[in-house]
Amino acid sequence: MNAQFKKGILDMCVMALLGFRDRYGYELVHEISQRFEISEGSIYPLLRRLLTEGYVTTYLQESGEGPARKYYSLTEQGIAARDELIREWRIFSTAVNDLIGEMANAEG
Amino acid sequence: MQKDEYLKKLASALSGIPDAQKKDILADYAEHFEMGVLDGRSEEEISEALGDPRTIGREYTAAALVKNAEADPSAGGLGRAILATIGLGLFNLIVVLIPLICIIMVLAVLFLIGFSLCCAGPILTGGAVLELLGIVSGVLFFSAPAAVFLGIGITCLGLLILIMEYWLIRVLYRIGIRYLKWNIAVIHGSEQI
Repeated sequence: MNAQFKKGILDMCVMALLGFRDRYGYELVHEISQRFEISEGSIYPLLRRLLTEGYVTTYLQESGEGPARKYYSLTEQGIAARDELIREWRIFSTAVNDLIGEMANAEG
Repeated sequence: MQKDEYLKKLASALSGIPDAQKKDILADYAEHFEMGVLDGRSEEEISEALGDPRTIGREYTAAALVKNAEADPSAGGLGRAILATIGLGLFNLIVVLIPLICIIMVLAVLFLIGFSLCCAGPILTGGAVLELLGIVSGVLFFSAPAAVFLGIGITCLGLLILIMEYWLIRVLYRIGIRYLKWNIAVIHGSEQI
């Protein structure tokens, strides 16, 4: 397993969420931290990295209730990168499930 | 901590980064706090959930240095990027390295002392015994019987020092391992899923 892959899981999740629709930082943090325990501060450096790599772009949008929000949006490159990560993840998780299944069968 | 303190700490951890980018990053976190407060969370809670601002700052710095080294190849730039990426895990290592060298030197000296005493003791006792047996004479400049016991005492002292040193090394080793693990947990812990 690629050592970079583990770090890539969070990247993948963020890109997958952005793939469905544009979101702003706090929204992303909230949605992800609902599902896994992460230190919320790690999302923003991740987003900046995606930005410098050209996988996302940002824009400001006024909102009724509060300050203007910075929205993140997936670029063409980002979509391609996301798909690649998801493909790797599927291969990896299938392999793991097979292995676990095998173990369960052996003991069952 | 409160939002202002958090942002201040974050800003100082971002010292290596160009101003425009720095403002942008701080704006992100300021926005995060504002959203969180609107959500009904306290600033204390929000900063707790965000994690250590210094760790976050280091991550940005490392990423920026790597990008710079990539865009503008230079030995110095690359060196800085590598150091930043290894994280201030390396910095801590340097802080530890100097005391570590001192400790090693002390241990080496202790070993020499112990070993020398273990050698000197038997030689002294042996010489004194030979003196008492009349085989040699005039070797010692004090009473031979005293020298016998002195030699034994010195040997025991030497052994004691060596045994204590062995125990000391084991303790220091365990402390060292714990320190390294703490280092890794603190520096990389915020990335745990």
